Amino acid sequence: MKQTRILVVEDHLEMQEVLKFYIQRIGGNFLVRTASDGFEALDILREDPFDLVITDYMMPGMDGLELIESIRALSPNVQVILTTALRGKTLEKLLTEAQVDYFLPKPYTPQDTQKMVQEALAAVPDAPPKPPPSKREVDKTLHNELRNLRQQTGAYACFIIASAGYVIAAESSDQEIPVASLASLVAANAKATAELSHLLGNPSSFKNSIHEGNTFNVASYSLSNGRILSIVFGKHVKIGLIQHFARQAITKLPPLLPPPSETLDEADFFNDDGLEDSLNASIDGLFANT
Amino acid sequence: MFINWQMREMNLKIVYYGPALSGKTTNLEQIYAKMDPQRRGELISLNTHEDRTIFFDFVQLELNKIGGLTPKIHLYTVPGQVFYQNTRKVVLSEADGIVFVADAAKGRLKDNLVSWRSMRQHLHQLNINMATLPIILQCNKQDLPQTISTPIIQRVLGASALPTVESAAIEGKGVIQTLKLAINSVIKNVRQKVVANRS
Repeated sequence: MKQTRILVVEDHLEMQEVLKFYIQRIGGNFLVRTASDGFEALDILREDPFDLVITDYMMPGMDGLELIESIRALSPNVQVILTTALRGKTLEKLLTEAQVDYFLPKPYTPQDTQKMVQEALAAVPDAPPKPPPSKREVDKTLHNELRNLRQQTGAYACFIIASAGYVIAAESSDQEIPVASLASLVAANAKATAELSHLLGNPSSFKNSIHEGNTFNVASYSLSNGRILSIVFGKHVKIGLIQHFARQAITKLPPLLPPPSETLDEADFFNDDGLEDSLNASIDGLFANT
Repeated sequence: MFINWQMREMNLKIVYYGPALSGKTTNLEQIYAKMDPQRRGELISLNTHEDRTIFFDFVQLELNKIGGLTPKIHLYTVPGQVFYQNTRKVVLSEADGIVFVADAAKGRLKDNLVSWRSMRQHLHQLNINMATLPIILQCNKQDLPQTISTPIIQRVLGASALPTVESAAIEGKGVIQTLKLAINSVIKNVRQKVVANRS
């Protein structure tokens, strides 16, 4: 019997457990995983295919609508149930924007939940879930998103940095931007900010930073897994414009980012028998002119 | 370590750690000065007015492509002064390898040990297993008339098994040798992990 994979996204742990309990009471072959926010959910969805996602609307960092938009980009076939305690006109507006097929109002009963889950699962296509897009496709989309962001904002450069300061992807204009050095400073600044936050008794985190210079400005925003989106822009560009488009990019980019532990097996690099000789020759070459 | 498939790059981070004034920044300055000017980027140094490192120094080396990937080696130093311990931890995080620059000048044995212990503590806090992390010991300032012998430094730090280089960084001696050892150890270590993952 095929296992049905369900992801519950809910920032309240007790509600996660309640939903999990209700689903398991249905009695099928269910695997239920939970995530406490949209970013964690996207990390999980990138790794494994799911049949159904049940997500809350009000969550810190990324709300349910932003998550749904990202899920649609990542796995178009997955069914989504949106839950919320909102009522009245706010709810109507939300449902118009949400483009979800299933809506489960809070507080939910076991019966309502189970009925809706079964209904949503019945709509899952019989074909196996579509495999995640290939690395090449994802990389291409990632660069397209960065290029769009740069064009929309008129920025000199947009790049994504790993927490260790490595450049994951970069799009820049003809301006000479020392991306590697800039990345090391942005990443170190993010880590220092997180450490500062931790020292002051907050949970260790970095959300965003703005550097305003005489010629260049740099805005940096936290993505998932310690990744950072950095935008280098001129004095003529308004920060509000950067923030507007950065916020949009923040919801689109996380699913496109490579996982932290990239599969090393694909690296021919390590199959090189004369690796040590090659490396030493390469290092010598770097210092040959001195 | 991070492989960027789109750019066909393998990024590695090596951190120069050690007590204040042991020569960490000098190592990076020498590397930068000796590097082919056509192939080097910026040397970033975040210093105080007295030229003491307040955050880190950074330089990136780009080696020739091997096995389809371009190795990019990111070299960092930590600030050596005792009160910058939080900053050291920040720089040390996600290191793929360490060069511990010990000061072989007479009278600095205790400073070396204090620094070594703080490094061990930071690695523990960062969940980095010191037993499997490539660490190169560099006993620097061999140009001084009176030095602590290398076996004593090794013994006091409990680092006798580590690859060790005697250097005089200010004269450029031993700097590139240390770098080569560090890069090779780091890549060998990553390779071992790949083999272990496959089996």
